[in-house]
Amino acid sequence: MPLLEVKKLQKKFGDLQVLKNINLSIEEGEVLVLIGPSGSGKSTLLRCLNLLEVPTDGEIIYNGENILTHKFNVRTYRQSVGMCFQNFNLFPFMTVIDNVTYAPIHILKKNKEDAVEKGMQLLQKVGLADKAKVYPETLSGGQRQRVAIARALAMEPKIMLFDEPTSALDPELVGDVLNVMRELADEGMTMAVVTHEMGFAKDVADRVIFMDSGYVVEDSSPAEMFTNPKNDRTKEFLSRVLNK
Amino acid sequence: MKVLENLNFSKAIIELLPKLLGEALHIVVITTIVGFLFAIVFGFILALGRVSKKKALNHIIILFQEFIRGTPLLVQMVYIYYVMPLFIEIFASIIGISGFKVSMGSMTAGIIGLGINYGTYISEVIRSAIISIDKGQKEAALALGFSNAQAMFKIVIPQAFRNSVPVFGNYLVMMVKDTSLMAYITAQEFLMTTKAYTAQTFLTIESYTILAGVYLAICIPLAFAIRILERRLNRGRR
Repeated sequence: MPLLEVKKLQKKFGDLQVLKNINLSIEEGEVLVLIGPSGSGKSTLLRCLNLLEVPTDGEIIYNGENILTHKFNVRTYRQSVGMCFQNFNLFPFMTVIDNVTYAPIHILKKNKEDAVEKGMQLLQKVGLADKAKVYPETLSGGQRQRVAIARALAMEPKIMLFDEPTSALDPELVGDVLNVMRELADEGMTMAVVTHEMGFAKDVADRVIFMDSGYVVEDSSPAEMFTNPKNDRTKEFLSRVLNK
Repeated sequence: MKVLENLNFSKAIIELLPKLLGEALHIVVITTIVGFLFAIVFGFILALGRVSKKKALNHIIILFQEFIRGTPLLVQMVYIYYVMPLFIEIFASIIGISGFKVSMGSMTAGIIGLGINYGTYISEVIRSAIISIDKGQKEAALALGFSNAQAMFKIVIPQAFRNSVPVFGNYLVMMVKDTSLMAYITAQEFLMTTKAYTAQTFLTIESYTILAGVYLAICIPLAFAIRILERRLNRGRR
């Protein structure tokens, strides 16, 4: 049974249909990378997966349960789904360590010492233990995103969603963030990643999904996707992004 | 100039200043502190109502705000002091309590008037501070598993409040000065005390100059203190 399964998902913003009949599944431990042109619906799909956007129609099955029914507990579900945003969205009025420990203390009701201990381990893991006591505004974009990853991991999620995590970064800072994500993937974390980093998709993804104007156009292994794409639209997109 | 030769500041200072710094100062300080706290709480409640998604509530609050902003503070105070007690008595007699007498203290009326008026303006400050917080902040909180209300109260509003403090400071200084309006509803604050003293002694120039000096002596250091507080709040975080 897949960890997360999306069936016939649709999303409309007013008259604009952004997602049209999306079907896909993510197995436990799998790294799924979503690629495609801007406006293709990748980010909206990802945001639907933790209900930051509420789908108009369709099903999202998590652990065998449809998360779109009224009785489903969205908050508990979100606790098991970590999310990293393009703009990091760290809490600017809290120090780095407080950012990381805030949700475990207030939602999981962990005691402060345990939360801080775990938080420091996570900061160590993303290479920022020495920044624990500073405020986010003193950090570079790459450092902020790594803190955001640590913050999401502190909730011990079953799956991590990354919404263009490196798109707002200076090119030289992208590597640090991707390395942390690579490490996570190696540890067996289930991940869904929207990105324009084709290198990352090639190396790390178990499966790559190409989306265009609200449809999943192609869903295959990275080797297949990057060497032998089937759909014309995929070919066109890949030739454009890979040869730039 | 005969008038200038006859100025008697030392007499005015010796007689008027103790009155100003006694009971009058007490009234001004208490009214400002209580009125300002009331204004912040009231403004906060109005702001929350305005950012809520309930259309009817939004409209009621907008109407109320227009009503308050479209009438002078002085008229509001006079209304609260002279008219509200009558309304309450009429209301009491309608629901069957006869002979119900209400007397509104002038300080109470001043506090209510200042609180409601300033609260209305402050609510717009808080509202715009709330909507200026990046919506990613709320999304990040939701994504971590916080409820809508928790995201609002634990993440968005603390930041909005912090951003509002400098503006609060300006309103505080304005409120100190606006306590002078309470002279018209018989409160023995600075202006009323000075007026009474002038009526007895005819030391007009001296008295009102001292009065202005007292306001300055309160407002300038207060504004200065607020600037320091503001700088503290901005240090290392935003």
